[in-house]
Amino acid sequence: MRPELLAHALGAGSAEDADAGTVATETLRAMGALLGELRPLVGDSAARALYLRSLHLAQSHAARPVSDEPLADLLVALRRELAQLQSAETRAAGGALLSALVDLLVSLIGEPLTHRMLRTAWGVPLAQRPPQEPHS
Amino acid sequence: MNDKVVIPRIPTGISGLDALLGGGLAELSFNIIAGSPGSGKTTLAHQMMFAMAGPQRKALYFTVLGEPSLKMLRYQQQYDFFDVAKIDHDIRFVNLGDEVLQGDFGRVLQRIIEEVERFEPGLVFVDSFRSVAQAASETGRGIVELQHFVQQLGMHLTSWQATTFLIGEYMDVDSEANPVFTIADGIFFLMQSLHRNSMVRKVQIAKSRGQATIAGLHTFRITDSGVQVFPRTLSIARPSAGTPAAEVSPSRLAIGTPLLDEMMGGGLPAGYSLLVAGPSGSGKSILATAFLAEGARVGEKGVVAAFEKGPGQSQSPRLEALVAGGHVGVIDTRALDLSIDATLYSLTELIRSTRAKRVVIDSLSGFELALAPTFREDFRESLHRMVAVLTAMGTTVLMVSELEDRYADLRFSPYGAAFLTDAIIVQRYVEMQGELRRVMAVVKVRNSAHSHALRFYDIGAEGIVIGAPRPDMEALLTGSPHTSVLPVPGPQRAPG
Repeated sequence: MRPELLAHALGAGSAEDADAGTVATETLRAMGALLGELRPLVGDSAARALYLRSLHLAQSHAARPVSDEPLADLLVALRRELAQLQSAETRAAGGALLSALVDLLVSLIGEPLTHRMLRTAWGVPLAQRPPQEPHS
Repeated sequence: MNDKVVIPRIPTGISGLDALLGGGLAELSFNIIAGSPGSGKTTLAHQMMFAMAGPQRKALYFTVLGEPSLKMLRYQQQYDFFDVAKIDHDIRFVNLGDEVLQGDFGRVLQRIIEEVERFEPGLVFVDSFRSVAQAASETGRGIVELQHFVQQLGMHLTSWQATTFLIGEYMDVDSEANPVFTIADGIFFLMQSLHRNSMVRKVQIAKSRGQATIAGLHTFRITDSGVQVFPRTLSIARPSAGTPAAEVSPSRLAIGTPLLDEMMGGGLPAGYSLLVAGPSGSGKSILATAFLAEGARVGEKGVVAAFEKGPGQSQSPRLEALVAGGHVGVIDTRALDLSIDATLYSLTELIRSTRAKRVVIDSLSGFELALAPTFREDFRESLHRMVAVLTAMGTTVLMVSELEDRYADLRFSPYGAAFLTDAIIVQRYVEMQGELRRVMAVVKVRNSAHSHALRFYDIGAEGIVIGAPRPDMEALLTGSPHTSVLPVPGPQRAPG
């Protein structure tokens, strides 16, 4: 995912002087908005699976579910863990996680459909394109 | 006063399907798309949805427990009809898996109604509805509750003025799903069958309230463009006598081989079907090409279905020149597991687009071999239908038939096509003075006088050269003719 798209997604959390709490909150807002777009489309369990796959791809140490913990609880735990990091680390971890989810969607349903979701979820303008589809 | 409600027909966007439906899909109808896994249900549904959906008629596509939504989107967007620009604005996908898993029909219905109220679609799809029914049986809920659910769903969606499709893996229209099928206004039943190494897809409009449909099974194909249906019968009106085409068409067509018109009593009557039967190498394709070339000479376009050689393969230079010059169109006959209906569809489309007046099918033997085995059983009946459709379009049809030389009997076609055609030319080999010679005769021209003479002919650089009648020769059809008095002269060139 391109830096300008990530900055757009994180909003105030993308500022250099933003504290870890702000970055964590904005990361969660962006993640929640995108998952909110996904849930009606794929269902709760599939949205949860995509989130967990993104955690794995981003090599995040954020909370993994102990059983069938709901997605909402996982996101709360993610915010808590991100907020405990230094602001730069929070920004890097949050960015990696959002990028992982976007890239995962691009690999599954292609760039145009993913971009349509980002437009709604993050208010991404038409001109701002998501990352190029990865080459296999 | 006629105050009956008018049911608008919505074009489905699927080639051939509207013809089956009597002009299109009935607006506000409640339909089921049924069939075995892999039969093309979801593709059919998506193609219709993308064709019918727009700002004035939005579509909601509910996915249940069948194909995961992401996979469905991943694969369906490979088709040409998938228009990403319509997603969200005109088409919205909603997953009902969680509601269905709980087995609470009331909640499923409530969710559907909420989404419909929010998005206000004119089209609603539920894929796969079979998953809903299975969830009902697994949670111990009876068929009565399922029927009640379907009734409620149909009632709500009709009230919201939505044309609805339930998609499900039903193998049999008549049995297990009766409660659902009873409620439906329309049932699209898709099937695929394996016969030897070939796979054939067929569709049946098993039910259609309030509209006349074309009954029976109709073949369809799925390509990168999506679904294409080939209706088993085509309703084509004969051109009226007053149409310009009829006025400029001569009552007899010159066939392009000197002296042969004379043998046929003045040419081949326009709109007739002609069978040219003969053994390998007897010049059938040369005669057929001459027929097309003569058409080109007088400004009549031609169409050829060449099964002996595919498009791009080497045809005769004369035919290649006709094709290159735009005088003759060639249909693609290379598809695997071809059906007569697919071929007929290609022919009629090309005839319409080029306004062709002459059609050549070369040959019936190659045609039969190109067909999926399951269609070979009905080849004769299908030929009859094809000839009827092509001649009803006002074209004159020449069909080539490979014929094994049998001197003990006089046969014209292994397909019984002789009686289907209006005219027959037969070619044979005979032995003369240690050489194989060719003879030709006009066997039949319906409602017309014609020559009954067997004529020797040769094939030269300029095509077929027919010799003079030889009444002095006998027993030609035995393969070993003999003369009574005079020696056999060489072939004579036609005057002019």
